[in-house]
Amino acid sequence: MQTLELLVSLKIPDVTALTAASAIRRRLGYDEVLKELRRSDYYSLDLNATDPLAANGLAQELAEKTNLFVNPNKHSYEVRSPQDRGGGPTPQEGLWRVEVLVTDAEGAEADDIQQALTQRLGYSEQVTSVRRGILWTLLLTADSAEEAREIAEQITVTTARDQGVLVNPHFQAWEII
Amino acid sequence: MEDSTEGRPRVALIQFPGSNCEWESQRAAEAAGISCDIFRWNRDPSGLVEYHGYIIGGGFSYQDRVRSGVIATKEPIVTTMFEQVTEYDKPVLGICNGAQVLVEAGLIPGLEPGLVQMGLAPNYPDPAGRIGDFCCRWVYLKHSCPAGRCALSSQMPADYVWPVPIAHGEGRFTTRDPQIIAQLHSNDQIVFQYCDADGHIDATREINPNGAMENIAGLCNPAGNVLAMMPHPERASFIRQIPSELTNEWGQRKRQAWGEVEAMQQPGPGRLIFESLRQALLVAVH
Repeated sequence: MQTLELLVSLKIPDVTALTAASAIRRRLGYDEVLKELRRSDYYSLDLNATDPLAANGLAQELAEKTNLFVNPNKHSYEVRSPQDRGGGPTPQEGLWRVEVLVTDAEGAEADDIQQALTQRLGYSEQVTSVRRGILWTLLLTADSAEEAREIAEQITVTTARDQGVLVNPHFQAWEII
Repeated sequence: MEDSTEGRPRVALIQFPGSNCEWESQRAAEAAGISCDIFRWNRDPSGLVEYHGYIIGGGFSYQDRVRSGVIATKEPIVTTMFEQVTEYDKPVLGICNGAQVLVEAGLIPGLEPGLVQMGLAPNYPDPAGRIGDFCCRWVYLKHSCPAGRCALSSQMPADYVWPVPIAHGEGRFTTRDPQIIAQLHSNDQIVFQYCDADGHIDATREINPNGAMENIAGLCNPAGNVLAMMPHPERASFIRQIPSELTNEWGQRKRQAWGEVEAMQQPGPGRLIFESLRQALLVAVH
């Protein structure tokens, strides 16, 4: 089995990401810290494939042909291995990329998509599991990777009225990548 | 601070971009004897100070971006309202999206004001597979706290059962901390629970439409001056709004009112919420 990640982003301006970034900068005081905020629909696909190349081809096919993940009029997408997750330093000194994966705390399984793939579209042999979430990508000014992760945690988790935007910990789970 | 022209207590109904129930909420409040101004979110928040209390109505503030209510809570107008409510015990009624704002603002359940101790999660999927997980139908509520416990339901007797519509996709009261639920029970903060027409409460989806913990439909804060409820009392404030097919007394009253416009304007069960709000505002006036 091969696991791949499918990231689906808007080609048009993402008003949700823009609104979240505005609230984080203007209302929570991260104006000089948060340089960019992007959002993607995140799918983790468990695929029965003989090798990584075949798995990648299958994931591309799911994105292109099923009409479940991508609307080509407004979405772009990327298929990647979990080993290729994008957190870490950027070419610019003092700027760090941090990814935050947000999922439903009670389970990330995308049963509706799984059912459509296996029962309606004939992928019962190839697709064994689909999980979903929202992937936020933050570009942050920080002195170190550790500091960038701490800032990302503060921006993410709504523990109080004036703290955090991206996650309500009472029903959402999160992972700083 | 009483309104000099009408002698009515004054409430500000806070309008965010995406609010969509402000006019019917205003009409319901005014029918209960309240002077209700719609107050836009981008006005100078200091203008809120002159009001005796607040309503945050239903809708989709900021288009529910990120999750319901969270962006609105970061606005300065909510900071001012929070201060007025916590420092001066002014009443505030949050309906649907307003309830979501109050929870994300840490006013509900408010065991430690400002801390976010609960969430209004996406509804559990409808087993019938109807349009997504959005619930839009009439339900019954039981007034589960003692009469007078919550200022915003003070005009309702204990165990009162009433019909009211819901319309939400993220209305499932939940918390990861079981101690919170225990405290809500011990403090009598569970104001409304979903039930059937006879007041029977169970967890089946027919009765508990979104899967909320303890069938919670409305909660108050410990002081009782803040009420967050997912159902829409403003849509059950006049007889004309009641479905004729309801089999209980309210359906009967609606059928009896057919053909008489004045009878149709008589109070529905949701009016009691606004009459309770009026009483709470009068306390705030003095």
